[in-house]
Amino acid sequence: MSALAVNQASLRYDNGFTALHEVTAQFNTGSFTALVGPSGCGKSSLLRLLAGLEQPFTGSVTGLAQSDIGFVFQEPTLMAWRSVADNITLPLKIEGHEPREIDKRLDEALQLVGLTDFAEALPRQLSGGMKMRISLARALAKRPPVLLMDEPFAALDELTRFRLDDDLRAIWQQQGCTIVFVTHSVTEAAYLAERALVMQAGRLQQEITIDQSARDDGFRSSRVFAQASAALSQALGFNHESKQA
Amino acid sequence: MTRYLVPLLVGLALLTIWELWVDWAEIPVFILPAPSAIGVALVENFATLMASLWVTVQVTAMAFFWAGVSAIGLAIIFTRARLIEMAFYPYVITLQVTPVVAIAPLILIWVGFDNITRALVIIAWIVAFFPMLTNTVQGLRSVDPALHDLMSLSGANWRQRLIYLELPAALPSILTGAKISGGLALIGAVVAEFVAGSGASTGLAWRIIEAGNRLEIATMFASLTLLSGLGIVLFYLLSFCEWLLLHRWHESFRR
Repeated sequence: MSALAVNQASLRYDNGFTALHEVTAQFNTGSFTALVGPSGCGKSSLLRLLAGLEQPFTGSVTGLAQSDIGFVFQEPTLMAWRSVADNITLPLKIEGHEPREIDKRLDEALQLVGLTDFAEALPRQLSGGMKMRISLARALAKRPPVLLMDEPFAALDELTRFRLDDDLRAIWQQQGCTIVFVTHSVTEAAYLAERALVMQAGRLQQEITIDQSARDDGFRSSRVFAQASAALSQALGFNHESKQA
Repeated sequence: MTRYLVPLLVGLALLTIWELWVDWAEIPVFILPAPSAIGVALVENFATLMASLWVTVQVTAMAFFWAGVSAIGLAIIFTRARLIEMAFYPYVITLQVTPVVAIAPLILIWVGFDNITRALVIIAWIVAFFPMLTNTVQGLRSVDPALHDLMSLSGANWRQRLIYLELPAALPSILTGAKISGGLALIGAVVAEFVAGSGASTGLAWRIIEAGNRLEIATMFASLTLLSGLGIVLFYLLSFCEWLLLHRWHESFRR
């Protein structure tokens, strides 16, 4: 069953730029999909369309209510004047949840990202990786059936990114939510997702399935990972031989 | 400690040089009184000067308060409704660029000398209003678009967006505007008193005119000292408010 779908959807911005051309895609419940492509190919636009932050110019989007969507931005996007706890709970407060329920979800979200000791800290007291975890915790506190992530770890160093990739996969397995993850990194897509949608110039170019069934701790050095990365690179035209040919 | 001690020592040295120079050069008191003479004038006219200071403080405070309320209110309306901004902004600018000294007599006539305080407040308000407005508009407009998206995804209404996001995010700009407006409110109050200048208002500016007419230059300097002191207190008071509200989280207070 699909949690989200776009059907022949085009997106045109006010300045006349068409970011998406008749894109059709489905995202099954509980699946982990990566949207991969070069800068400006329309990945973030597709994500915004799925979140209801943009409306399609033509075509349609079948999605959920915005309250059922957790969104993680490219930057941590925290309110500098609010503590970690207040940042995480603000969406819940606006949505009108009971204080006791809010506290419960706060604890749960902080535990999921491993930052229970930092509830009272201010964003400026945290490292880049920690801020991103808080941003993830804020999205998870909504207990969303769908998590949309817009290159969330792109600005972090590689080691932190690897750690957060592992955390994200663990959370996905534990929560069973549907994840759509935008990235420009083929290795990150190959590592995280079961399926990658390759985008070029506002169009869906190719769909690549990644076999995650026999996954273990050494996945990064596995044959499946190497093959998926190579397939994604080729789809994006990074393959040296294919360029020469 | 050095931060306070150095300017204090410089001030004391300058006052000493002034005192000695006036004495040595035998400068008449109606041209330049010595600091000691100014001190004496301040003590002798203490009651009158304090009453005048209180009048100026009231006018300045009221003008600043109304400038803040009206500027923030209008900035919120402007950032909500582009059409209203387009319609009214040119007139706000007109009010700002027209020299207040030129329109002050009109305001005094319209409001009437019976309501002199109200007239003075209106004149000072005109001077103080604009920087607060432009800074607040800029602050409200500079909110991170991603945070706006976050509010949209949470289903925030306009009031929640304003209270939880826009006003706190704009606070640094609002406070910068307030610091400028505070000083301008005082300047506006003094200008207004000068224009009213008939004894109907009894603020510090009037004392300066009065002392000048009588060639009591020491009293004039005493009033001037109080005015400068008031300006400095106002500035530091607003700087303290800024520190109080921002030091925990804003980058400008990061050491």
